[in-house]
Amino acid sequence: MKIEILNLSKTYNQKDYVLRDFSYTFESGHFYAIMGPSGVGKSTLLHILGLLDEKSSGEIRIDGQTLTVQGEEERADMRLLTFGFVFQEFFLNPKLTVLENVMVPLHIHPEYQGKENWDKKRKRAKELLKQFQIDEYENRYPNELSGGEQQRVGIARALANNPEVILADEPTGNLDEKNEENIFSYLKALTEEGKIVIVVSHNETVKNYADFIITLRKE
Amino acid sequence: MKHSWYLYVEYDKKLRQKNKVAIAFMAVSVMILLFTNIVFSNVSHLLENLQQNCRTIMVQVPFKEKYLSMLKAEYAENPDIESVEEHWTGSPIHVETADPDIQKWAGGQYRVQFSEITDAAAKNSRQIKKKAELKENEILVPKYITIYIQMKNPYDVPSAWDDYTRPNLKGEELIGRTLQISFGDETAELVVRGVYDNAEITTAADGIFLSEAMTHRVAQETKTESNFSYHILIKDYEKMKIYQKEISDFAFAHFDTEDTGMDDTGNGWLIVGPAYGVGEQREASLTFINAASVMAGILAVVVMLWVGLGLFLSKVKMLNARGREFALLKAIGYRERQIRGILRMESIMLSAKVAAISGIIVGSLLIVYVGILLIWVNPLFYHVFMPRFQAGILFLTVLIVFLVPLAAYELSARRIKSVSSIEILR
Repeated sequence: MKIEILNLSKTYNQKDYVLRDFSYTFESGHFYAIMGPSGVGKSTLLHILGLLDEKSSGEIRIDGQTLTVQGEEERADMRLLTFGFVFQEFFLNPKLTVLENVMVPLHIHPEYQGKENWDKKRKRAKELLKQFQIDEYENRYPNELSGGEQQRVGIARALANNPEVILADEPTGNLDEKNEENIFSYLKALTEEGKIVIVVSHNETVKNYADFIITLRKE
Repeated sequence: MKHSWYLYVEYDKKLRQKNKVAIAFMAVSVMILLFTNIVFSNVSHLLENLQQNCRTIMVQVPFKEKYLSMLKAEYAENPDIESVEEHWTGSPIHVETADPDIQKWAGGQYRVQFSEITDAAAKNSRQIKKKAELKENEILVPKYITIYIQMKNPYDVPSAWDDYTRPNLKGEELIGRTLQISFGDETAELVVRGVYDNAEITTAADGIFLSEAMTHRVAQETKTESNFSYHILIKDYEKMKIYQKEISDFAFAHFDTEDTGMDDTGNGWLIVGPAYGVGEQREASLTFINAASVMAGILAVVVMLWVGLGLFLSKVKMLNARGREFALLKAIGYRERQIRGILRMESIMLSAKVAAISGIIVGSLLIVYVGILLIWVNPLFYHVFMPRFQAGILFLTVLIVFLVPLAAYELSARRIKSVSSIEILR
């Protein structure tokens, strides 16, 4: 997969730009780190890429096709099938077990619909937990896990629908040094499966894992 | 709907843990709602009866169908008159007993009286079947007995009859005992065969059942099956005195002296007057009754509003507290209508499971329990607080329980559209 961004801008009042004329190309199998000072538009870029926010101008092409998503439902479908989100604060549902949290995106995925796919869904979630070495916690609740373990659950949830692009916004912001390295290692490993990993971070450690570092600057 | 149910089951099985305080509030609120509604229903029924009693003129004479027809022909179409009906007032039969246990129950007073329950009063209950099985010398007494005792005053002159009741006075304890009954100049000794459930006969909760043969014998002796009167309900209490005189004049002029037993001076069986001794005290109490009725109504409405608002706010609070959850669902690809579907199912299930089942079942049990408790304290509460099935009240409660949380959901569901994943997840 190739995501091309051409002259992307975001402004809320036509005068002050959060992001201006940003152009870049993201390709499969690579780890991209977006860095820069606060307020420079890193998260905004990530949100526009993940269709959580709308651009003011510019163009996004996926595999050469201009992305023209219309309507909230189409955007939701695109987010479901193409992007996986990892958040700084994990946002795990405290009332669901680790396994149930990972299964949340699968409930609406076309391949896993219906009662007959219940086992398939559980199997998929368990595989992911095993991949991130948290399968022994599958019946625990998020508050029973450490920050690093919770973030691994967050990454497993982001991967549940097998998206081609992983978007991570400060994924190690709430973690200690050891867990930072672990999380970046896991994210790096995903590029070997051909996924595009785009991480927004202030953390210098990310440079050790990133194939490309994009530094945004204020005008 | 099928898809929403699937999502609800798959995604959110643990709904009940979401907000225990709000759910407990909902359940308790439904109980209060149901309880208040039924209490109000009972109290208003009682007050309505009292009010009606104050507006009733009674013409008492041994029953003759022709007198009822005459009164109806004269007054039924009168715009000041609400109704003209026959009314059973009692039996000429008195049961007196020297039984030491009953005397003991009666607090050492010298006379205990029951009255007979007529077929008319019992015709709509299954108790009538028990009467058919009685032998001539047998009677049935109430399960819970209200004893009327003629009190002695310091001057040894019988005063007015007072209601006297004792808690735990159970009819079963009389089974097998012999009671003496008197009617006219005759007496008879009858054995208590069993009890009937007087909860089913509210009009004569203190009465006894006689056998058909004994009823016939009493009728022969007293020349009447039982005492009936004609009740004429006046619309406006202020006109009671006018109509009392007019109806009195009418009855004296048209009723046969043979039936009324009247002599030249006008004394006899015929009595025309307010049915329940409406005097100045009653007149004053009417104001109180009206005020109490209005207050009870206001109280019921306030409780309903409070419970409705509470249900609404607790549901809105539950939904608002989940803003981050909805934002996350939107971020990972849930459509708005999928989230709304889950919430709609949650609202329905919450109402059904928590409020309706626990509230209505527990509330109903509570009402029955309180009813039993009150009757245990004083059997007279049969008339006031008999735990009856109140279909209308139940329907109203269920309606509030289901519609209010759904309305709260509909309001909150609109917010889902405005929930910004970016703002919340930032």
